[in-house]
Parts: sequence; C-alpha cells; structure tokens
Amino acid sequence: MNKQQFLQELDRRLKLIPADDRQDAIEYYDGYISDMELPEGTDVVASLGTPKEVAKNIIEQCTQKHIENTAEQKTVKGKATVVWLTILGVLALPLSLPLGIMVMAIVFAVLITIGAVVFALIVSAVAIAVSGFFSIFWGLFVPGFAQKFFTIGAGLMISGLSILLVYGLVLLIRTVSHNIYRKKETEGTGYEQ
Amino acid sequence: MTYQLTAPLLDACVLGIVRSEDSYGYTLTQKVRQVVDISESTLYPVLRRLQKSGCLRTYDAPYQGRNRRYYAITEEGLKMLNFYEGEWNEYKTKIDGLIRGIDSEIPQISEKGMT
Repeated sequence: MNKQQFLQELDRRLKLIPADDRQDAIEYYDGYISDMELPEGTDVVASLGTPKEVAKNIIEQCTQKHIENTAEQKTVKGKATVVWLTILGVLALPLSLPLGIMVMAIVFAVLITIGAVVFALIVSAVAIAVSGFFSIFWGLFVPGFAQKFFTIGAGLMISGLSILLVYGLVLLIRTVSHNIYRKKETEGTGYEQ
Repeated sequence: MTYQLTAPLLDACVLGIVRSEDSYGYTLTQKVRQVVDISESTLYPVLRRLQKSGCLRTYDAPYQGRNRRYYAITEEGLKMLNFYEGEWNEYKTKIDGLIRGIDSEIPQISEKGMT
C-alpha cells in the first residue's frame, strides 16, 4: 500500500468523526509519511501499521473527547454523536456477545413453550377427570331410567379415560423433564456422551 | 520494557520534548520510541488532545516544497508540564523508597500521583 492508498483508506475509515478532526488527522499522517522518507515503492503499512489500526486510535480519542465535551456542554448534537459512535462500537464488537444473547433467548423460549404445553395438558386432564366424576353423580339425578344409565355409563367411561390420560401425562412429563435435566448435565460437563 | 507508560506520563514526555525544541510528529515519535516501546501511531491522539486542551499550539513551516506541522508548547502547557514533573518526582522518590525498603516513614501516596 503506497502513501496515497493509505491516506485514502484512512480517510474512508474516518468518515464518521467530525470533519475538522478528520482533516487534521489526514494532514498529520500525510506529513508523517513524508517525513519517514520511505524509498519509492515501500509498503507504508509495514512501518506505520494498517489504516484500520491508525483509524481506531483516532476514533477512540474522538469518542472520549466527545463524552467529555458532552459532560460539559450537554448539547443535543454532541449527545447524538456519542450515541451514534457508541452504537457503531457495539456493532463492531465481536459477534459472540449478540449471538450468545440470541441463543439464550431461543433456549429460554423453547423451555417456556414446553412448560406451557405441559401446563395445558395438566389442566385438560384435570378438567376431563372432574367432568367424568361429576357425570357419575349427575346421572343419579337425571330423570328417566335409560338416561340415568347412559349418563352414569358415560361418566364412568370418561373417568376411566382420565385415569389413563393422567398416567400418560405423568410418563410424558417425566420423560421431558428427564431429557432437559440430562441435556443440562451434558452441557455443564462439556458434551460428554 | 517491563513497566507500562501511562497516559499522563506520555503527555509529560511529549511536553518535555516540545519544551526544549519545537518538533514535528515524526521526530517526536522517534525520540519517544528510543526509550519506550510505542507504535508509530500512538502519539497522534496524544498530540491532538494536548493541542485541543491548549497545552500545545501548531504552526506550519515550509520544508521541501510542502508544509511541515510543528508543535510548540504554550503557557498552559508549561504549567501542565511543571505539575507533571512535580508529581513524577514525588512518585519516583516514594517508589524508590519502597524498593530500597526504607520503612522509617511510610509515604502517603496521593491519588493524583497514582493516575
């Protein structure tokens, strides 16, 4: 990278800092590279570092200065610039942090969904059981012999069904919770199978 | 280099060099680099900050058909340098005392001296 390319790249990377700071930095490095008196065709990056590193140095300084200025003046524009620079900083963070938050959110959502489904099943089972037993007693007061038999019979059937349902549910919950527990355990010890 | 150079110490070094002689960025950097391991791009933010806070002023002087930007110390900068020198001497003496194990009087290291 020659001097001109270096300065262009640096200028491009300083787009977001105030114009006077940007111009000052470019002028400084223009003079600096000239003073280095590198032989024609030498790579500027080798002796000065990449434009990215140099720009990072300058931007950090500007951000800090802006925060100090804002603390003194409390101008809306200054604040906006700090917010803008901070957002850029967050965006420039390694991806691991946002990704980590995302993964945690997904895991959390899945756990809540499983919990909600299980809760719904329990409520349904209880409702069916209650309606079954209630039907048995209700059958005693229904007028008519055939109707009594029908209602009590239906109540018995529903009660029997609800017992099977509760038994199935217990098995299901046990399996699910066991799986989650085991999954946590393997995560904790580093994926050993 | 075993010991880290902190920001105020770097400010003091730059102000000290400029006090003895008006300098431009490249020579300043090389002078500091003879003693401390800093990168070529470390000093620009320092110079810019000192300039903005009124400790340094700049002027351009023609050199080989272009302008070279020189840094010169201001009244404000001299005051700052005096302060830094005093703090540094105090700090240095106390640290020397600790290293040599003089425990007859335990120095109270001020907050300012530690920055």
